[in-house]
Amino acid sequence: MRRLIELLSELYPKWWRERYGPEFDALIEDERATARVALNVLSGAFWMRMRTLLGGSPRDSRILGTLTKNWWLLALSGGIQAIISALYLIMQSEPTPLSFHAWNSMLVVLGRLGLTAGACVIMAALLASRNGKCWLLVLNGSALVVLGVIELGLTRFGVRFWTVAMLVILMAASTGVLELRMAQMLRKKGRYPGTWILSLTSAISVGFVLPFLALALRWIKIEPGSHTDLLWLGVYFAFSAVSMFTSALRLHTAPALS
Amino acid sequence: MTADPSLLVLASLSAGDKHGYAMMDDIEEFTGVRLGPGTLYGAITRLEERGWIRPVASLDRRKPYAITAAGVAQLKEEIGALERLVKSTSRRLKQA
Repeated sequence: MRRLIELLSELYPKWWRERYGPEFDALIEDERATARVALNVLSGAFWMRMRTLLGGSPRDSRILGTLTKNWWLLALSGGIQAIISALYLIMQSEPTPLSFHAWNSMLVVLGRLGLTAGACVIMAALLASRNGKCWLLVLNGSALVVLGVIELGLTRFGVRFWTVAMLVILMAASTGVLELRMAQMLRKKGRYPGTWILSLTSAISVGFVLPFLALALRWIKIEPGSHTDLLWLGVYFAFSAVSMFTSALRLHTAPALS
Repeated sequence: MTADPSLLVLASLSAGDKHGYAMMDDIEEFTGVRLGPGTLYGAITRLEERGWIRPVASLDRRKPYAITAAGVAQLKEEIGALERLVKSTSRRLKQA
């Protein structure tokens, strides 16, 4: 029975084991090993896992603290992504095809903007973070940086839309998961009443995965000369800009988090 | 007797610093209920996060905890609420 209780105590989340593991193990050694104790340890591990899942670990608090400090970088990235969106939509809506020179110039601008926006997101995740680095946001920013590099490189070599779509899927999914966790954490802390907006943007963000997957797998056909891909990219970046602004403002209005 | 485990831990620590096993013994002595390890450490986790208890430096694996000033204030508030409940319920029972 004692061995079973020791095994059950391993079911606690990693952060909890790191903080309380040795003293909890000592307590289990001292306590009589009964079925009731085993059940109690199992239910304790279950509730601690649920709590962690809902954004209740100290690490989540530290991550939120990092993002709160760096909210302005997210807002800046949101602003740049709004410009990226506008450029995609302008390119898509041009009645006559852009000249080769104009097209290349646009790609260079888009590439530079993508690199800058991505760098802002990565810095927001890492700057002054101590132990609260936000790796989901690093993933998001890295995808944006890679997209920027691809756009700069497009003037020299071709890239299939599949690659671009996969990068957007990575960005949309990471933003969606992060916003959901932020909403849960802020709700749990009772710091801000408008967290439902974060939940909504999280759902929409994850929703963008589907059309881009359909585009990548050619379930949605891109007719030659239609620039449907540019339209979708423009719409996604418009949403991403709004989403970044929303997150930045929510974080800015919850300054007591640390 | 049933009560919030967090309140029981605060009540136990109000009489002095204790490690987990000592808290379980103490709580059993004044309530007749023995908390399980999972319940006790769930309460300790919550109380420490809220700043109502703090770990005391120790070389032993059995880490003792102490109640903080904020924890004492919280305990007083909860005891006050319980006293009001006891008084009003006693009055109602007398009238019944």
